[in-house]
Amino acid sequence: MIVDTHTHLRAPIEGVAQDGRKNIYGVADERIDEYLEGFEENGVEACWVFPLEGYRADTYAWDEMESLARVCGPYPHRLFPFATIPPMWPEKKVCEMTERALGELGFYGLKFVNICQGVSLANPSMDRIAREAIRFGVPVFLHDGSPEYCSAIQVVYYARKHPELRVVSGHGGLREFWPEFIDGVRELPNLQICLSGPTQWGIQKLYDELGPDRLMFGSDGGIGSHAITRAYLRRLARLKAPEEDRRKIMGITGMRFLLGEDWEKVIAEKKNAV
Amino acid sequence: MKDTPGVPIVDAHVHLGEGHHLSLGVEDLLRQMDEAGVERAVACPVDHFVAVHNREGNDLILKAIRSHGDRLSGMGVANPWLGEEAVDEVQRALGEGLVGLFIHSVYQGFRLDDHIVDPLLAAVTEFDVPVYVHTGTAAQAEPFQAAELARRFSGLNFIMGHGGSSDYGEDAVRALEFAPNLWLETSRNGPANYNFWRVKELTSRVVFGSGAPEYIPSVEIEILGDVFASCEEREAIFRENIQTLFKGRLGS
Repeated sequence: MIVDTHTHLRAPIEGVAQDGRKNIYGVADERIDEYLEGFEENGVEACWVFPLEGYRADTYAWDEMESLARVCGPYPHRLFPFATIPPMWPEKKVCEMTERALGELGFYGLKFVNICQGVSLANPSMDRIAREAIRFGVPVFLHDGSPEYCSAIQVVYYARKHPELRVVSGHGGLREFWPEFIDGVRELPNLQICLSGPTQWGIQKLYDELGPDRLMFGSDGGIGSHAITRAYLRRLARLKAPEEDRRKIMGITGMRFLLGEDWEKVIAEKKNAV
Repeated sequence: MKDTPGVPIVDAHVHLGEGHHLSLGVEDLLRQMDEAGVERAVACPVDHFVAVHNREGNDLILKAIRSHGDRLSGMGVANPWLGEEAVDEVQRALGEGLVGLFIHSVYQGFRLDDHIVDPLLAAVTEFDVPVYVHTGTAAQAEPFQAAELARRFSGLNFIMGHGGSSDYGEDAVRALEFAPNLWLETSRNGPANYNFWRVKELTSRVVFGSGAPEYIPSVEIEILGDVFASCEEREAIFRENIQTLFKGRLGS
């Protein structure tokens, strides 16, 4: 089973034009059917789904969360949505949104792009987020590799500061900072790595040093070009690893991390419920 | 060689040598080039050769191109903190057959647009060969800093290594507006930025680089082909553009 643990989907938001809208790469956004088609085409059976708009425009964060829940709802065995919450919102509003996302809508975690959301991972607002995520038992998934708010080492220290919180590095340090995760992951059992970012050399070194149980395939796809996902599939296909380890990295590790040891049973139940 | 779709491919960026971060020998590089259908690659030495062991690094590349002149070209290195010694080393390396200067301001410990690098660039000007500058590292090696060098030395051609890489995609494209002598190199990127460059009609300003051994050339060629699919685009990115900026110094 191939699981993409890093995808984005622009769910329709009232008041935000959808047709013809282009993302920062100059490519038109996908509708849900195009998004699903793209992953099917690449053999990806399930995705962790993150929002797009709410990182840069907190005005839309709540509506986007609601819309993402509606869009993902019919595919509970394939799409596993995460919400973002503007960290600098007042505490009461953060708690309300957390309750809504994690308590009522059943989101699987929280996603942050701190370089867009304007606060360092060391900001107290992110400690508040950590407490909320721990309370609901969900992971926090972080964009990383971007100084000065969310570099790889900042992610390591966020995980070190909150040992009860499950933290995912969303880009494995990108092209240059992946080596910082080798020491970090060895030390911190609550830190997990999505491989959407390191070089091919970096992916191999991370695997050689850390094995298959802390590394997860992810592409950052879903934003207008199916080639984005295909690129990481091609790179992972050249990973020098036994087939069993490769299968873990391509899907099992991610689903186990998200749903627990009974992940296959959980997915089967969700599929049956559709 | 693998039958790639019709275009003899030139790889603008590979590393050679045993390093702290990267290692690749000549024979392994040639094998990777054969697998990918790469006709020629432009090599620079790995990490410590760039930072401190400049002469040894240049000799390593010179040795490689003398043994495999039909497949390899090379760029020289010199750390600008060494002053006159660095200028002398660049002149020696270019005089002996290297065809460009490789600058990695992170390894070499300066801000890319620091004037400390000017004497080296002045020396390169006399040889009229291109300069490859690593970019993608915040504050020390950003696309606009590459543009600053290109504007200061407008008679030289510059390759923006890694095309700014990842999150600097927009800066890289904007930087090209201000420096007609600046090209984007593709390694450390993927289809998102490739699409962006294509949408911005920059195909004539892009050169393929695998960054081997950081990436596997055949894989990266396939990934590029997903976005730049036409024969014209492939011809430009895999061959024509780099021949233009090297002014014919890479052979036919």
